[in-house]
Amino acid sequence: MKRLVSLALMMTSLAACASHAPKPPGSVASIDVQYEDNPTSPKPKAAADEPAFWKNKKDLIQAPPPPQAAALALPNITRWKLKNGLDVIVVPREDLPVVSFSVAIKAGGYDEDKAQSLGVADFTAAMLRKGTLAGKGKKARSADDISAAIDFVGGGLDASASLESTTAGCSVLAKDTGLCLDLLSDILLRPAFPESELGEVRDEMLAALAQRYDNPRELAGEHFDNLLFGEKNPRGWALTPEDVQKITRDKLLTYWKTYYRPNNALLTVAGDVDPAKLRPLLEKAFGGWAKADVPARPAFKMAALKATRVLIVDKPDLTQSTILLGHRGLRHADPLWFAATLMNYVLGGSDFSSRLMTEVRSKRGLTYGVGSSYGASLYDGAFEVSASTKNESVWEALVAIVGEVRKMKNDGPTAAELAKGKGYYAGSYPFNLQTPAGVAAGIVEAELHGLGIDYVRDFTLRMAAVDEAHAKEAALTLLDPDTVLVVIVGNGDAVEKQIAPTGLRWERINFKDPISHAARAALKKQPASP
Amino acid sequence: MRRITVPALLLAASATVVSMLPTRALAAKPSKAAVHASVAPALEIKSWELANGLRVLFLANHVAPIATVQVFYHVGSKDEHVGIRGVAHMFEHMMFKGSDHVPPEEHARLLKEVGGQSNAFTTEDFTAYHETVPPSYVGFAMQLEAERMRHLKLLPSTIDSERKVVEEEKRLRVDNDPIGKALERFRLLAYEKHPYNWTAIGTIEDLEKVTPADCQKFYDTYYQPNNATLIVVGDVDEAAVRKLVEQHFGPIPRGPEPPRAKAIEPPQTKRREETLKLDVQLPVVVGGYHIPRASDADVPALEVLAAILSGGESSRLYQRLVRKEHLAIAAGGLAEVLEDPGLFIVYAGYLPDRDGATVEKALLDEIAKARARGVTAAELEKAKNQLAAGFIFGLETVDGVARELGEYQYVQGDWREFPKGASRYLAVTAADVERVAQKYLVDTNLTLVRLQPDAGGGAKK
Repeated sequence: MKRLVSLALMMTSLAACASHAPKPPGSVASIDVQYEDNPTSPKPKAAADEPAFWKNKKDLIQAPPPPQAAALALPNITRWKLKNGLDVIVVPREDLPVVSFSVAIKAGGYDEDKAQSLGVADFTAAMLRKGTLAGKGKKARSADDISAAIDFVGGGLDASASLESTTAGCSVLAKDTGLCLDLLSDILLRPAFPESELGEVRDEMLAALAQRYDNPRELAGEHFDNLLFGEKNPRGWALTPEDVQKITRDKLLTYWKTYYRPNNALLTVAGDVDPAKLRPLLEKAFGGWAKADVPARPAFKMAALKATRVLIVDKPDLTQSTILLGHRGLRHADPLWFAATLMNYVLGGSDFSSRLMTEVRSKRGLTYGVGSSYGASLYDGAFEVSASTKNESVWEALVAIVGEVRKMKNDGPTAAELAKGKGYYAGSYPFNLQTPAGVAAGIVEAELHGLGIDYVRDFTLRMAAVDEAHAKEAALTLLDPDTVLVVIVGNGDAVEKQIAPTGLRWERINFKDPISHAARAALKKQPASP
Repeated sequence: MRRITVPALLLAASATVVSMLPTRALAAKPSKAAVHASVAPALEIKSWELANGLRVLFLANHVAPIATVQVFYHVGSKDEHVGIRGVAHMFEHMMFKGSDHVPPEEHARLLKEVGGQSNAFTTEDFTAYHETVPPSYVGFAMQLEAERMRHLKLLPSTIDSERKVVEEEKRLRVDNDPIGKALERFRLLAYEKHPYNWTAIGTIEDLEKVTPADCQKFYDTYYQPNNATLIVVGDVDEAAVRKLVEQHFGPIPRGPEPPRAKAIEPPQTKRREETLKLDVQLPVVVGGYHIPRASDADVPALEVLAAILSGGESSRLYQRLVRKEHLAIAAGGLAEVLEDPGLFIVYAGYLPDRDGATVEKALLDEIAKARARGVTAAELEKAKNQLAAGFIFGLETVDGVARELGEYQYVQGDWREFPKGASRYLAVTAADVERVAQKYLVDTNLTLVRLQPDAGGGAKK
């Protein structure tokens, strides 16, 4: 198949790529392809082979009318604040004797210092279970004491940090509610951070970092975030083994003291509990947690992409390439979020119903899965398309993906497609009600993003209120197929052969090279080691 | 990327060998298993059979506006033979590629329009199709499942395009995942005669050869009402479900009885081992001992032993390898219970700077200890508590309950074992655990695969 790269967008300012610069000046800056209008040349596979059997068939099964959007019938939620400012939300469910407690602390990776304490949020969370100090009427517990206690009742106790927040949670059978509260308050209020336990957590974090190289999707994600969000935004920072080695007990203590405060946290209780009986128990468990002022976060900038750029991450043993493609997205609280999410449902957010899946998997068989997302983040996030395809089909997949993004930007979704998306959300969003912990998690996310419980209750109504004009506006203003970041983790030789002739700005690195592009640039400035 | 199918071995791997990767949240989650009579709610599961042999299981659950419709077919990769390895899973894909009254992929699209979600997965022993829908669309989900039970349209063009998709799935799950590769190799070594020798994902070599005629034969042999179980759990009532089932599945005629795989794995008489050098960052050692089929009376004691060895951070393997000797990042085990004799798996994953021989020695030493000295009363009680609590946590979602019912029906051989549960484990004694350890977890019955970083791999340095 012969293809011509279209001159969709001339970019005279296009810089040569860092290490390989085979492109002439004034070449293309976007991914696009046109097929020669020649009846003898084969048509793209997409047009071929649509089985004729179902065409014009009159007896096909049709979907019944879609469900209608309605306010969510939330369970009877109780909410109050302890004197120290700890926000409490209780979501009851009585038919099953289980309960879960979850404390969300409004601090995470966004509150780390890149040079001094990268990784400290996660390290601190992982250390919570590693031992506690004695308190009023309470004995100190070792890491093994804590494990023995929670394991004996078949419960779960864990803590982890994300960029936006840190969550510590405990789930047990309702009869073990007392133990659960005791352990959870101990690890949050009285963590010992024993020096002797640092090694184990450090090993675990180092292993997780090493593991990225075995997981192409994760590795692609790290490169994508680094290039898209940049070195001034914590979402662009890539944790390194050196960062992990730098974390000391003092840094953990400081981080914990600064951010683990009741006035900076939200406790949700979900399951088989009586809110009235719970009040004194929570007061006893968390009343002694001292409040304190917590530093505000700086405003994070996100560098804008100036032109399409491609990063090829070479891992020679891979038979399949993992592709991430995208650009700036939006924040959860953005007025366009619902319209963007519904538009994206049509584009790549709905598996087989999506245009991307239809084009890239169903018609061309190029991939096992392809999808796109906007996410729901506190700050501006990413619009991200992900796909995997055999190394030799990377360019064909990219062209198909960008073609769909461009079509969506230009024409928007159709009214019929939007109606299908609304039906999906109206029917499926209430599924979240089946677990109280699911309801609680939805409420916590809404609270952390400043959206409130109403957001959860009215979600399907707000989705239903998106009209065709809104969705078209979202597509037109948010999508930018001519300026995308592409990260490809795959066999570099096979991929490079396809990318180099296109004239796009591209760079090839080894999969073990630093993830931070600034770190790679710094390495290049140093003389090569013998 | 959303997953479309999950071959069982890799599913098991995601619960064990893959979750050994340092995801803390996973490690702490309670495991799933049987019921503790004192606290578990009684489950009023209704069961009936249609004239065509379709078994129907129903459980009402009115907690939320949600219901699940699942069809389990009693066919999996163990019904394949060399030459068509992977056809059961490929067939699962074909079930989305069009039938008389539903064009390719419309099945999933139609369900999405009404707020539903649909998916499927293939294991060694069964293939499951599931829809989760708002309750008023249960009949619609049944209509679509009944349609593809007997009206699939197997066209050469769709078979060809789907073959490519399945090959991409194999690249994703096995070829590009060192753990996936190691597990594939492990099965090949552990089984000589039995079709558990390969995993549900099959081989590209065989998939390339699958013809439309192979697919049609497979369909007509196994996709029959008398080889299936329909499971409905959720916010619907029994009378309505009975009526809808009869309306949609009643007219389907009974098919011929499918043949059953009869291969018997000869007893293993000496240890098998292999070291794989791959471009992997974290070395892993995986061991497996042959154990009896799921319905065997020794299985509950083996599951209790698995919990004692690896249930939580207080478990024996974690304590020894991670906590006390700082050898591994993660260590654990599980009884991989299958319809035919399965494997008791133990594993450890460690940083490359640790000595692999020492890790392996410690892992096998813990097994030797269980054989020599058995387990304590406190460990036994803890394991039973964990299994009981895990079962109750598993009742939270309608999908989870339906899936357990289907698995019990075809792996244990009887769905009625599922709501009983508790007694399976409550009756297990310390002597039972010691006995099964001595009987099965012996060195001559061990297959060991070491996955180690290949120094000359793709890395620059």
